Amino acid sequence: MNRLKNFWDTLWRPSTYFSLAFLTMGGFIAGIIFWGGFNTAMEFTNTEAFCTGCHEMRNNVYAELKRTIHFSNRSGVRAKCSDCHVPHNWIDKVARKMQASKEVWGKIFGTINTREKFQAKRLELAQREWHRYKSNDSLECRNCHSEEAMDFTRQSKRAAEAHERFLVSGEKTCIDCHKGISHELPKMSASNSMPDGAMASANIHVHQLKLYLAGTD
Amino acid sequence: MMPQSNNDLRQVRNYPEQPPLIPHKTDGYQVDLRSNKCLTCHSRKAVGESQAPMVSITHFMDRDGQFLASVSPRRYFCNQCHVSQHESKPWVGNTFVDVDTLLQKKQ
Repeated sequence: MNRLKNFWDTLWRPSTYFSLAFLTMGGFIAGIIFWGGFNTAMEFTNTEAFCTGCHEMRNNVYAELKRTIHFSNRSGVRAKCSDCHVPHNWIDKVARKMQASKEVWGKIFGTINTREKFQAKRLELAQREWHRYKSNDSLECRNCHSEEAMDFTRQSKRAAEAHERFLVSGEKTCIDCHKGISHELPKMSASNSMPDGAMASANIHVHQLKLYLAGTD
Repeated sequence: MMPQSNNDLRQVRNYPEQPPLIPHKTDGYQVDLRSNKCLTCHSRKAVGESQAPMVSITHFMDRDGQFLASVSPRRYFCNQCHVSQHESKPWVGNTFVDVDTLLQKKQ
């Protein structure tokens, strides 16, 4: 306790040997190194290699992404995990990273360490992301797909009409219609479906469907 | 392979019972136990927004002829019968003619 007090006193006493210039310059340089180091470390957690370092990501969501247009397409532009799941501006990014620390907990305790556990939890995980997209007006989509830059005349008739009716009017946001484009959809039912209940009429009872598939209909 | 046709124009059926062809792309459409992408537009409730044709009422019927509240399990897997098309030249020709042409020929 005494040693701690001595240390505290030393900290607050003016420096005896080092010049003010040395201390300010030293602090400045150290600041750059720490800040740079912090950001570099944070950027590292945004890489595909980091995200797919765990089998939970590699074998489930990443495997599903590989089959979609966001992974492989005619122009060769690829969206990696962080493009859609981490906000780009700094404060939101740090906030998201702090939330994501819960995923470390999940990893340690094996919350989704098997395909079955993942499937069971898929709806909850998906809904969390859908909610995030819904409340930030699909910001991560719009980081690349800007409404202003969208040429409706180059879209199919169907797509152009839908965008004109729902996107331009602001009635809906990207995620309302484009769920499941990068990962498989969870089991949807009437209550937790697409927001407009479109999925509701698809409320075939899975049990019934399983029976049918098993040939015991 | 050529890309899937996406012109939204309905094709003439070659015979009356032919399941209508899909006039748009269906790449990556998920149709499985968990979810059915087609029904997000073609279900009874969705057509108001999507303006897509509703799944035919025959699809609500189970094999005992009972109409269910929504698509019957045996008609759930859309792409067992309905398919998108590719603009490609067939490698093997065929001499199929539809029934109208056949009747005309007979006369």
